[in-house]
Amino acid sequence: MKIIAITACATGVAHTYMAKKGLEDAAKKLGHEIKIETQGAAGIENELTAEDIEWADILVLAVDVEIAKRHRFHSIKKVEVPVTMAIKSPEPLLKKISAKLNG
Amino acid sequence: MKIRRALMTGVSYMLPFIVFAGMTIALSGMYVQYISADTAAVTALNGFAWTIMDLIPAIFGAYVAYAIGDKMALAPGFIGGYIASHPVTESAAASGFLGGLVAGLIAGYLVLQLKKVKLPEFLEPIKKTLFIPILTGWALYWVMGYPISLTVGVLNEWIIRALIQLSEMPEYAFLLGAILSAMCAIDMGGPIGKIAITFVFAVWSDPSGIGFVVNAAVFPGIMVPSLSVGIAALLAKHKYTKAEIQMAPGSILSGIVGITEPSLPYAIKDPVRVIGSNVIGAAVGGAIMMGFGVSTSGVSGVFGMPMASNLPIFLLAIGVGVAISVTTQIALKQPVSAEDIDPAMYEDFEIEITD
Repeated sequence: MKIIAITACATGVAHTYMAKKGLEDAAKKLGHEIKIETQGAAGIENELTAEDIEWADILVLAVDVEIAKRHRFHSIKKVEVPVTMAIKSPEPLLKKISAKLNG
Repeated sequence: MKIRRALMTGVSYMLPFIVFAGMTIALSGMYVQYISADTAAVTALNGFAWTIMDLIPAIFGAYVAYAIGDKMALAPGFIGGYIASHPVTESAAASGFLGGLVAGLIAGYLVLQLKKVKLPEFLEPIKKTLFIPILTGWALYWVMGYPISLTVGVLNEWIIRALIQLSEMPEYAFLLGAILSAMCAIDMGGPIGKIAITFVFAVWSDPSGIGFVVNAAVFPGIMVPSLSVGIAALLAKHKYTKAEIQMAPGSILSGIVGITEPSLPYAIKDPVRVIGSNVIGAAVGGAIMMGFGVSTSGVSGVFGMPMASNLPIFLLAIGVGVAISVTTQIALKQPVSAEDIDPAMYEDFEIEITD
């Protein structure tokens, strides 16, 4: 599965990056490709490009706040979950997404 | 869910303003008090920081509205939020941060509704550039200027008066400090803590300075959890997993700078013992802080220290809170067992894929 993701929490210093780490580790373990944009206190980092959006099968939004530049993603399937889910249980999350996409 | 996210969005955009205004007021105030009282430039800077402080309800309203109704909601959210700190009639009360919140919600949903109104094709561009900004601006001006000033404004004044009275009665003030601090410790940066922080912001810019007293009271709640789990993990290594011990120094450092979230992984694994200990420690710390009426205009952990009105008590409150939490945690926690090594993950949830 090719995944793009955005993580964003209210303060933007801890949860945002913990969620990024959680998703990255889980994707690696399950053999998915992933690219993650963070929208933390510093604003958008590692911004997802039009090519990334074209390339990916699914957009995972692990966010507690409204994301910036949402209009980029009108053409892609998306899953929205709270930030803590990407920290607590990223593996079950990706497994469930994969199961839903394939059936 | 939508509303909660909107509030979080508002808070995240508002924070840098609070940091700038709070720290500038504190530092320039200290300069005037201890170094030179007649430096016009510093006094002007202090005044300017208060001007920004007064804009905070407007910024908050603007971004709450933006999160709900997107771009077009930002202006009416700002307009309504501005009135929350600058009443339009002399008899009305400032509704402050609470008013800003109401303004943001009203502006956001109003724009959302107006966007759905169908007009003839040739009027559509005018609707976006002319009708919506003007109509929503007028609507927010009226709603915030009259009905909200009379209701939320009065409520806001009542809260501030009650808080001031409480803080002047040490026999009850400690209770408020304990509750606010415990709220921050209980969910470590989550919604309950945000309610306590919202309460602090709500009275933040009141000229009486009560905002800085309740601000100090939440410090133990913010700092105790990360500090305590880290210290406890280093002191009682046989009761913590390898991962927990590895995270400990980072957790302590986060606690010092006022980030509560690193205590989350510890709490998720052993919620009752860890959260219980943290809440008790934080509550005692908050009680000491507010019982002694310590105030600070600094934010975020160690940065609140230089501005503390009573540094020894400030440190004592946090120290005692940490000591209690660490001791309780170590006493309650069981030695690590085999199944702890790979903590079971939460798997019982549903997801939904949308286009």
